[in-house]
Formats: sequence, structure tokens, C-alpha cells
Amino acid sequence: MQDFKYFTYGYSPDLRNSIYGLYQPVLNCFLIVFPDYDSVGPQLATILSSRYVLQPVQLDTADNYIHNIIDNEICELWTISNLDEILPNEIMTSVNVLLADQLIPTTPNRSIQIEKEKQWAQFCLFWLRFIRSECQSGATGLWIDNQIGNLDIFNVFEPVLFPNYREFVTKTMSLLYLGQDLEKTEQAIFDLVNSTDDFLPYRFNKFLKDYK
Amino acid sequence: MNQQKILQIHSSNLTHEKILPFLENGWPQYNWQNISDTGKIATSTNMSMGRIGDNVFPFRTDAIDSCNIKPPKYDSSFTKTFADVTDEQCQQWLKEKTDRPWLVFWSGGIDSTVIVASILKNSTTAERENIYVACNRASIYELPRFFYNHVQPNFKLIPTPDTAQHSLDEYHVIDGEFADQLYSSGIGWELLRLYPNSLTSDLRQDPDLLLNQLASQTNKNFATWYYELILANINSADIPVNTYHDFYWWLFFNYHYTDVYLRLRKKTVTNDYSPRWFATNDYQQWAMNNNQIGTKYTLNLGDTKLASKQYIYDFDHDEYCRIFKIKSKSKLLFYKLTLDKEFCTLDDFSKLYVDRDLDRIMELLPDYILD
Repeated sequence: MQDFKYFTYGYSPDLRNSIYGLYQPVLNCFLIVFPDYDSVGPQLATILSSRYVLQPVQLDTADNYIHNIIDNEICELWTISNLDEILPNEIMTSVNVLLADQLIPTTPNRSIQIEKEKQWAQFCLFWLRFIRSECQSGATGLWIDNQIGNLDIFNVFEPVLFPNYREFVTKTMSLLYLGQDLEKTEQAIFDLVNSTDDFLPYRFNKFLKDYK
Repeated sequence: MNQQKILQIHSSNLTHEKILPFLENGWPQYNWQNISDTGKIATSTNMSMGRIGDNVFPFRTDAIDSCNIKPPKYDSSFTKTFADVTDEQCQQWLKEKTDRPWLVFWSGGIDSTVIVASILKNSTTAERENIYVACNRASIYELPRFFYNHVQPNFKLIPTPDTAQHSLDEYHVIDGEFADQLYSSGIGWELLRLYPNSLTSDLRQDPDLLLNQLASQTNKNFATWYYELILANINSADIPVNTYHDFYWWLFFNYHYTDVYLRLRKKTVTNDYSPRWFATNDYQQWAMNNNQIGTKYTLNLGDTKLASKQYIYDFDHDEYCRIFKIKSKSKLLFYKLTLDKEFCTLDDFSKLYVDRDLDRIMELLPDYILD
């Protein structure tokens, strides 16, 4: 997992910062952990919701939490004690972050390719961070046909994109939301990066170099 | 006016301060608090009317006959699969229901997706010219790839908020109601998530965990009372109901059906031309014959409504839907808000409210309660 291009361990170097995870009820484990929930967490959960529901959980509130107890190498080996507070069939209608009581070791269902799902989550997190950092902000919901309905779960970014990056962001969000194959999706986003303007490939290479 | 009868009472209101003394004085032999608490097990509705077996609650069950919702007689030789039933029904309806267009309400959930998948599998392009799909953004978020790959390219879409502007009498209105009654739902799956192996436990030999789960919704005395009552009803019906899973299925199949029917009669989105896709005899026969693990469910939370999810997967091969899709609760929340305010439904489908209609309730109630 460490060799994966977009891998990060998921905790902040500053130990005072909180750490969050996205819990998948069917797998009964975490698929990703990261510290910057406020800036990209809801967006990440929403992007991944095309695959499965995910409950955001603050992990450092657990009684037995210590630094490094959980990271993206081993997050699938952990669940939490207060599962009864999660209602899987209501997650879509809720954006609440659950506070973990205790971290509990678990054995995930190996018939599902968890490693592949973990990589996809890391991949999406990378692009959300890239957009947040290099395109100023996102507008995750813009690509959806907003002529029907008025559900606002996607309108979580402030619409303050650089105007010339608006199309790149909306198309990237769409690719991440509907994509299934990581390599194909990555190539499609690279094509967008290279076709948007001369600066975006430079921004991407620098961002990736500094990412870990 | 005087000929009106109560069809169904919303159980949580039985303990209303103006109703409970009336009941306890008139019928002291019954535990009205427990009867009221049955609604807590049903998530949002009244559970007092079983369609099969002995009537174990002290209420008339006229609604079963007057609403024509008696299930077919159990036939243990029934061998059709869920896919057989679904395909046959779609093919039959495509032949029969040609007098007006179809309007399919697609929520993006498992049940309505089975319907849309079945239509796509069994209809011609020409037949789909007369089939509209009503949906909204929430539907897309529920199952986005299915929407973009299958719904959008193949159907004329009507945004759900706009359906109010259409005359629904122009359509056969079709939705996924009654699918929950083929499976089980609600607290059964809570139990599964917290105690994964319990759903196959023997209902009669090993009921402790089931009693604990029922008690967690109410109290210990209620749990024992309720378990014994429902078990008596189950034992009086000649249908195999043996495990915890079967128990929860039975609640939905036998006791929830009337509720759903009456709820739909009160909704404005249905009409007399609303065929009930999942309410046919074949679907009910399938439900009675397929409670074994591996067909309707496994011990994995993602395998709720397994046969339906497998049907969708066989059509679209989307592994994420097959493995991870679980039931959304949004509708239940909506109905709870609206149902809590009413006391009962009358045989003309009008409603009475305690605050507004107390005298009329007192007048009609004695005829509804069995001595």
C-alpha cells in the first residue's frame, strides 16, 4: 500500500490535530483515515457514495486511541465499539460525524477487494486536495443535472473556482463519482490536466511531488 | 355517517390520555399499553392486523377482506425463482396494461430498480415509448451509474416534484411498495449487524437473543408478551416460520401488509390504475417459499434483499450495487411524521384525529374491539 502513488498514512504530523475515518458498514471497517475532514471529508464521502455509504468517524476520541494506532496501512483492521449509533440506512440523509468510543480490531471480509477500494479512496482524496489547493475550490455538484430536484448534498464547496478551471473541476468530479477503474479514470483526469492550460500540469507535478 | 367503520388504529395513540381510560374501563382484560407498544416494533405503523393465522389481537380484521389483501394459500410446490416471477410479470403486464402509459417511480433504491431493470430486460424500444420514469436528484445519488447507464438513455424522465402537475389518472402508476413485505427489514437487520449469526437461530428453541432485541425497543415484559402472541399466530398458520429471520419476515409479510395498503390509499401519488408490482400472488408465494439462507439473505449486511440485488446485478453487472447497496430509510421517516398525528383510518379511507374527532372515535371504537 505504501508504494501506491497517492498513499498517505492519514495522520497529521501535528499530534494535536484530530484524525477521522470513513467507516463502511457492510465491510465493518475503515476504508480511509485522514486529518483534514473539515476541508475535504464531506466531499470525499459524497464522491465515494456512488459505490457505498460511509459513516464519518472521529477516531482520536476513542478511549484507547494513541498516535499511530490506526493509519491507511491497516485501517481495514479496525472498527469501533459504538456501532449501535450508526444506522446504515440513514447515513445518506445524515452528515453527522460520529465520535468513536473505542477502537476494536476486526477481520474484514476478504472476498471483497478491500485493497482496491482503499486505493480508490486515496486516489479520490488526492484529487480533492489538489482541487482544493490548486484550483481554489470546487463545485462538486455542478456537473449533475440540476434541473431536477433540489437536493444540496453536493453543493458543499464554495463556488469560487478559478474560472478557467471550472470545467476541469466539474469533469474531474464526474469522473471520480462515476468511475470504476482507477487506471482509466486516472488517465482521463491526466488528459484533462494536460488539455486545460499550460500551468495545470506543472501544478499537478509539484503537488504530487510534495504530497507525501 | 353512521355506517362508517374503523379499518385500522394507529397503535401508539391507544395510550392517549383521553383514550386509555376508556379502553381500560371497557375492556380491562387486555394489556393496552403492550398493544400500543406493538407500533414500536413496526418502525412506524400499526402491527395489529395479521392476514394469516389466528387473530391474536382484540381488533376486527375487516380491512383484510374489504381491501382484498388476503395472501394466496401457501403452496409448498411453488418453484419459480424471483427472476422467473419478475420476468413473467413484466412480460404479462406489457401485454395487458396497454390502455394507458406507465409511470414508474424510481427512487434509486433496490425495489424500484428491480422494476426498471425488468422493464429494460423484457420490453422493446417501441414499448418503452409509453413508459415514463419519475425520479429526482436523490434517486440519482442513490444509484448514479444505473441512472446514467440505463435510466437516462432509455426513458422519458419526469422530475418527481413535477408529477404533482400531471394527472396521474392518465398513467398506470408503478412503484416498489410491498417489496419490503417479501423480505424482512427494520430491526431484523439491526440484530444482524450487532449479532451477525443470530438470524438463523431457532425461533422456538433459542429465543433469548430475540427477546432481548424486542425488549431493547420496549421492555422485558412486552418482549415476552409479544413473542408469545406472534408465536401463537405463527403456529396457527401452516407456513414454515422457523428462524429469527423468518420471525421478522413474518411481521412484515403478515402484519405490515394492511398498513402499507392503507398508507398508499392515503398517498396522493397513487390512483385506481396503480398496479402493485410486488403484491401479486406469485411474489407472495415466492416469499413464503424462500426464507432459506442464501436466497433472500446471508449473514452479510450487504446481502439484504439478496434475490432483488442479484436480479439487478444479472442485468447491469454493477458489483458495487450488488455488494454494498442497502435499504434507505428516508421514506419511513416521512411516513412516521405524518402517521403519528392520526388515530385511525375508516372504511372510506378518511382519518380521525384524537384532538379533532374524539367523540366520533368513542362512538366507533367499541365496534372495532373484540370482546
